[in-house]
Amino acid sequence: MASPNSGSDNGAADQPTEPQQSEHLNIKVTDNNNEVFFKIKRTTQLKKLMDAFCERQGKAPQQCRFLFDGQRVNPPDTPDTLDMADGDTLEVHQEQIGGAC
Amino acid sequence: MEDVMDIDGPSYDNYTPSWYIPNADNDIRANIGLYSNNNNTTTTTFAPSQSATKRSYSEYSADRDNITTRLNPAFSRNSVFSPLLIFSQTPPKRTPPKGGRPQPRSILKKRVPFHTQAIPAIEPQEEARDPSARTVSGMITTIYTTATSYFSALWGYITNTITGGQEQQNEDIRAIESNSSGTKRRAVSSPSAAISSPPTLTTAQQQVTSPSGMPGSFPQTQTAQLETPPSSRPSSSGSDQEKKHDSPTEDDSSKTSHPPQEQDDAPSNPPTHHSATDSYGAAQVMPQTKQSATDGHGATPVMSQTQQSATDGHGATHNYPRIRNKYACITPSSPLDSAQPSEPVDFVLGQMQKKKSRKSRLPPEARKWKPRPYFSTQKAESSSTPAENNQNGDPPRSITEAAVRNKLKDLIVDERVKKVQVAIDSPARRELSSSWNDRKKLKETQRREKEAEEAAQQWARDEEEARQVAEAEDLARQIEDAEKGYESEEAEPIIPTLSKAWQARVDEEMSTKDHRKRIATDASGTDLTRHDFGTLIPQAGSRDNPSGWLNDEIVNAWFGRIVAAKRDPNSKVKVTRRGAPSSHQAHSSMWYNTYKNSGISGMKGWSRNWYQTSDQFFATEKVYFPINTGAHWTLLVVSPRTRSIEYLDSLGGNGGHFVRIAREWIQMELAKFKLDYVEDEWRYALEFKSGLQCNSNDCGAFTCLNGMASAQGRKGYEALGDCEKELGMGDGRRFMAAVLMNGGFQGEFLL
Repeated sequence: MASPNSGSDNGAADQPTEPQQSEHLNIKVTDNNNEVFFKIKRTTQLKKLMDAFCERQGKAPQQCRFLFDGQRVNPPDTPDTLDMADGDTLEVHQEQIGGAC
Repeated sequence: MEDVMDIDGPSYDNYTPSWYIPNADNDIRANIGLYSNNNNTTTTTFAPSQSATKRSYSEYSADRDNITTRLNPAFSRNSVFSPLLIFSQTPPKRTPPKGGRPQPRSILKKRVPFHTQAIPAIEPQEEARDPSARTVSGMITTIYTTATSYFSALWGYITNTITGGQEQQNEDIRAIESNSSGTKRRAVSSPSAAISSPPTLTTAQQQVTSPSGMPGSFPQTQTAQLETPPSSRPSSSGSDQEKKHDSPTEDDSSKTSHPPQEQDDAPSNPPTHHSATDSYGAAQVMPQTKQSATDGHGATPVMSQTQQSATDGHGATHNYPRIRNKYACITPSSPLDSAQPSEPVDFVLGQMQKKKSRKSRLPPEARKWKPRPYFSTQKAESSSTPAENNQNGDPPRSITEAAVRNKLKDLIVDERVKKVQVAIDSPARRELSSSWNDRKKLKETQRREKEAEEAAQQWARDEEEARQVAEAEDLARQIEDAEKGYESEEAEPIIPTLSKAWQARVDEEMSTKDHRKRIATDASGTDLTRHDFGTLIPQAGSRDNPSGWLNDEIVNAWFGRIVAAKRDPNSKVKVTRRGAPSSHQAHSSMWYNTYKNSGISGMKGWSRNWYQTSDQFFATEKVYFPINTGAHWTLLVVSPRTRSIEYLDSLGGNGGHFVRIAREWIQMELAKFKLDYVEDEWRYALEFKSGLQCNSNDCGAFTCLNGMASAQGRKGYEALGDCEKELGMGDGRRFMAAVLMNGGFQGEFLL
């Protein structure tokens, strides 16, 4: 907990522009069946969050699609790059296939 | 008196009834019968029908029957008129061949019934004034021989009652018959009838005539005749008409109306003014039968009647069977006569003089009894003036007249026509006419040219207008298409052929066994692994699902590439991970799950960076909604620009459910700009249909390629459904793989 907060490299850069924003964001991750809240730094790659969620749900990361406002979330993305705000929700979808029954 | 009917005056020998053609029409002329009434007042004589006719006896009999049926019994009732002339509408067929004598016929038997029943007493006959003169020298003997005792007895009775002169008449008649029989042409001598009947009776006829021989007036005429005294003959009008007819120019008029015929007759028979009446009676009868048909000229029917009557008279006297069914009372008075009641003869004579041609012809010819050449060929202009004839005591002339008259009209008409033609043909006339015609032609040609020019100009104008309209329509259509982002590119195949290099590259990429190997990335940087491509191009011997069902990664990557390709490269707008304003936008295929989980509101922020204003929203051409229902891929397309909704389902679904979702989404988006959603403004564009997949695997490929076709502005996506050539959608899949490997629609692959 402490280490990510203090140790974030981006903290200095973010501070001037986002003084009011808290360094930590509470992110809700839901796969429609389960809701998991994560508190993550704005500059932390979401890969950590995704892996944690898949591990917790017992799913392979390759089969989980994380979406934020309809946009696909890639592991390198951070809350800042996705312009996330506190309380936002990540949707987790499973792989879709289809061919017509 | 009447001599009404003289049929062949001049030409007994040569006579060939050219006018008497075996037509139905001719029938009218055919028969005239003479009968003595109970009163014995008068009797009319009749020349034998123009036996010359070529008809067969059977026809004759048939005609007779017809006639009998047609005759109006009412006439027969009138005992007042002793002599009744009956016209048989049907031509007589007295068949006797030329040279052959009139065959004695069993007329008596037949006649009697006719008499009693059918004879219309059309016209009283007074004429008989001077039946005297008529005698044909050579002919009598034959007839006498043939005449039976009955005839003689009857005839004698009649003559006694009427006048002593009747005998002469009889003789005349006989002679005529003989002649006629021999020649086939029989002159009808009506004098006897004239004898018996007082002139008074004629008046009725005149009245009849004055109305210009109204066909329907027949019964009336009879009555009129009966009642009206001869002196009263009113019809100056009738005379006028006759005069007119007499005048060469007016012959044509005569054709239509019967009176003209009568006119002709009248002059011939001045003493027997009533001969005209006969003709009228005939005419009156005729209409029933067929007057108009045969000749156009009223004269013809009269002729036939007269002839028949003559025959009948003969038959009656001589017991000849010649009589035809129809009998008209022959009243010798002619319309002309009626015109001048007081002195019909003089009047007629005056008219006759006017008709020089007729007069001149008749007397000499008739006397000579030479066949006239023109008679044979043409209808005789029997100008024979009965009056003269009577006076002269030449019955044949008068007889000939009646027959000839009918022909005369035709002849006169012909002559006039000829004259007119001659006049026209005359050189001076020709010059005048030619110059006039030339001018006329010139004017005509000029007029036509003008018309042609006008027509051409008009046509050119129309053409120009049509062209302009077509251009305008075409332009409008192009504009509309441009607005819709459509371009007519159907000519090009939706799925281009991959080059060999790309085929090799695809094969190489797909040959890897590492399913986690990243082969490509989508527009957002998401990795596309060998596993994902395995859904697109399943490889045998690998872990790929052979079904080839596309997964969401490929589909979303595909639409991401389309959106990226449609993004304006020159735009200064920063493209964020959440997108940027563009003409094409694409939702993740996961949107439907989100919708199912949280409704349309779950997608509220999905288009945050796509458009910031309503203008940007309506500037968006396509918003793709790839739909995965769990085992099937379809595509929902919302077009804010055209305000239309498309649903493309390779299985042919109508997508009503998804269209409703689209409407919800539209409403939500409009709410962001505080705009009211009007459902009618958003049209479900049913004209856009996906091609149908021919297997159970290609829906993903169809969905993706439909999206590409839509982005290309194609109007129809049917081409995607070409089942015949597709190995599934093999080519399309490889193309998609190549595009994704290429990093989107760039370089070799342009959208």
